[in-house]
Amino acid sequence: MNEAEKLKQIVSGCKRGDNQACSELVDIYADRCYGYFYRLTGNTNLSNDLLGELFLKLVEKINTYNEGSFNKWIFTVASNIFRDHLRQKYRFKKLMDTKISQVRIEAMSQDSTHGGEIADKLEDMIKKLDDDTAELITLRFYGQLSFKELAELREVPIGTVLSKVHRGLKRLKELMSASDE
Amino acid sequence: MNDKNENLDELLSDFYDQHQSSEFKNDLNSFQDLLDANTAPRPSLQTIDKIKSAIANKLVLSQKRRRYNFVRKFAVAAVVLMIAIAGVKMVNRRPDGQIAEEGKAFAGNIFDEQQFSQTEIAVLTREVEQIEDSMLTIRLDEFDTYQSDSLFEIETELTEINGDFWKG
Repeated sequence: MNEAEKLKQIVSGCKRGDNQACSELVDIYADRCYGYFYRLTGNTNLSNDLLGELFLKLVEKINTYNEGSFNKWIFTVASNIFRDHLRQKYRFKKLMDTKISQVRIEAMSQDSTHGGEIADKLEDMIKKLDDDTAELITLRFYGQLSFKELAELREVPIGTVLSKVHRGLKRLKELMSASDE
Repeated sequence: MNDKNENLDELLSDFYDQHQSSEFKNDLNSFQDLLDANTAPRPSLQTIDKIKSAIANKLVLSQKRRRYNFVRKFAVAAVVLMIAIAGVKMVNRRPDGQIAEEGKAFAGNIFDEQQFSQTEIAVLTREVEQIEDSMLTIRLDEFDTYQSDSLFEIETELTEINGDFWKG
């Protein structure tokens, strides 16, 4: 049985409310989803909380998944949870939409202080990107999403996604070179 | 095709020239190397166990809720079915054309069983007429809330009828 078929079976099991299937789903996706949250927040405690919230939400909403890429579906839910977290924290949606980058940097610096950890160099670089680009890059590499899936997820043309990721990677390269000097 | 099921070369060639495409691909590969070299921490086993146990609890709760909903729906369906069967049996027991007559007789029997006297029926009829008059007044917008207490009267009459009727 190949991976796709196995995943299909696990998803069917989860839809039937099979606890074993849900545990297997956690085993398959926990590392990648945790990596996604960790790269965006730079905080282990917060990433643990968001990961727990994600899997409970997945079990609750699994019947809404029908066809298509399960990867895309799971990371869409993860992305929504991350954004909800920011919204809940700062309450004012309008403020979050317009000043999302500023809010995220403040949240991360606060979380890093509480978590008692120093984010590694890569997180520092990612934090310097604008919010949308940082999330697109993280979704691309941790969610293993194609550019087409990213465009569908964000509801923007594929060219926009390519251009944002391209610019983001260039910026990261510059930042890394600057920090090495 | 890569592991994301996309043809990157073909995709990039639609948007970039050859030089830009190759630069973009290099940047993607370099970043992947960077991530491989700086792997993000993994969730602890304790966290994973906690999540699994929370999921198990959630599944038990939702199963209980599903069972409860099923039993409730089943009970309602059973009652509806019983009423429907009783109705069908009643209708089938009587030949066609007699149903209306049976209905009238049934209504008559109720009054017989209640054993209302002619006087009581006359009083009730009079009160119903009064209520109809009052309702007509209201419908014709002749009802003045400041000058009339018809609404209060209607309420009183209804209360009285209700009490008298059930006393028999």
